[in-house]
Amino acid sequence: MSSDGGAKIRVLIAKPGLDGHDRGAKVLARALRDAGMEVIYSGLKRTPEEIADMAIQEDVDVVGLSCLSGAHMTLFPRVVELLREKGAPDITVLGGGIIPDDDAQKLREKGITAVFGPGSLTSSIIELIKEKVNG
Amino acid sequence: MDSREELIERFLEGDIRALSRLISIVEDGDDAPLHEISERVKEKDERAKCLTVGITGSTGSGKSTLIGQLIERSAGRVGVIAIDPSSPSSGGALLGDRIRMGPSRAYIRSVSSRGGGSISKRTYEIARLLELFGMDLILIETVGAGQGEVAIAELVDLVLLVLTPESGDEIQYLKSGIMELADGIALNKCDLDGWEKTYIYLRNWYPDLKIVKTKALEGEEMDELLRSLQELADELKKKGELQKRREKRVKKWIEERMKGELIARLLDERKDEIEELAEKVARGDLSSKKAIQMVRI
Ligand code: B12
Ligand SMILES: Nc1nc2c(ncn2[C@@H]2O[C@H](COP(=O)(O)OP(=O)(O)O)[C@@H](O)[C@H]2O)c(=O)[nH]1
Ligand SMILES: [Mg+2]
Repeated sequence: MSSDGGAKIRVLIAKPGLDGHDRGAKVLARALRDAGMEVIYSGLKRTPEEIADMAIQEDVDVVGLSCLSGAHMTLFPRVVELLREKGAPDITVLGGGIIPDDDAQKLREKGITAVFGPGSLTSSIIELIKEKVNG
Repeated sequence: MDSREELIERFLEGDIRALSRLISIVEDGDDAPLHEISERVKEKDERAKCLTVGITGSTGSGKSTLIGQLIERSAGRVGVIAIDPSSPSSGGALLGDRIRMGPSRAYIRSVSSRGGGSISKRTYEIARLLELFGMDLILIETVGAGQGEVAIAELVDLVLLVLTPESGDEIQYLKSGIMELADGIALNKCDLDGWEKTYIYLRNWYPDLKIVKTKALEGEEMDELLRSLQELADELKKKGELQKRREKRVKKWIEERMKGELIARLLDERKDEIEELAEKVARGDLSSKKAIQMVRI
């Protein structure tokens, strides 16, 4: 990486739906920053449409969706769908929050690359992102 | 990943994803797409009408909130460059200006300063891309480190300084020189106590500066602010000052490019000579003073 920056990994951490739990999203955003990434935080209560638009405007490599309210099954796949529709199928989508194992499996089938629950180590999330982006 | 050529084609057709991808490429230090696009954009005169406003002021003064409000109220296409500081230790950044701008129809791009102080070193190039894309208004939010925020003035048509009541900022800025570069002031958070005092203070010290009392959070006086910016721009235009500022920033940009190229070329041309001298100095056969005299241009 060159001294004046070089290509940085860019990540959008987004809170879809009405869920107000933002601790996990903020912890993760900070950890990614400290790992040298450029992290855009969406703020609370964004629609999938807004999140997809943000991801495209910000040219992120990864969108991380955080949801602890139970609405992940509708919200997460919708973001994947919209990214495809808007010509950005190459953006990696990750999910996290309170997500039962069965749901996690279904989400992966719908294009969410990986799902992380409570107690996940940010270091393993960082590792996965680097692997996904840098190949 | 799409090829450069494809991205440029799509940019010219107005594709947002292409704009975003090209901003990243240009941000990472490559000027080529910018040159290619500026060659090919047809309606240059039309696009030169784009107004670029720099918005500066301390962290927390309300710059992002204010921009969110301006976006909602302005006609035309709006592009925003929101700069936040990079972390000196990791080089990463947490870019949070969007949160306060709210969902909007504008194109908002969060940019890390990447060690460049109150703006990113690539701010000019990113703004140029937005202009060529066809934005009518470009708003650039600086990091807002407080004093010494003069770099932004060299990149924009207009500088708006955002101050808040009784923050002591006005005294800081008085000393720093940004006041002399500001074209207008938004005295924000005028819903808070004590704004009268700050307002009178500013009025007394800067009788010629346009000062708008705003309440960005409540969205008050935002039409007035937008109107003032437009008026300021019109005035500058009438005086020929807008054109002058634009010339100045292109001149600076060309000079920067020349400097880079000159240095690289000179170093390359005299590579052998430099190596030879370095060897001698390292061996102790030549004093460093003599060596420097010998390489003088
Ligand atoms: C703290 C907390 C709150 C705080 C939230 C403070 C805040 N600003 O975040 C308060 C008190 C406000 C709150 C309120 C409520 N809560 Co609450 N809350 C919790 C609690 C105890 C901990 C959550 C937390 O902060 N964990 C710490 C962070 C660091 O962990 P995390 O968010 O899980 O994130 C980690 C991983 O999940 C993952 N991750 C998370 N997001 C992402 C995203 C990506 C991309 C990736 C890769 C990874 C990732 O990485 C993180 C690091 O390991 C949980 C229970 C629990 N054990 O999880 C309940 C819990 C989430 N809350 C719950 C409920 C029901 C509520 C309320 C509805 C209660 C009520 N009736 O009022 C309200 C709703 C608030 C709202 N507006 O949405 C339920 C949700 C049930 C469900 N989903 O079915 C839980 C599970 C409690 C329970 N067992 O019932 N809550
Ligand atoms: N009371 C009050 N608070 C405001 C006003 N404008 C913005 N704020 C708040 O000031 C804080 C910082 O705003 P932000 O736009 O992020 O400031 P920035 O750092 O300059 O971009 C936020 O909590 C805003 O809600 C205002 O007019 N009045
Ligand atoms: Mg801000």
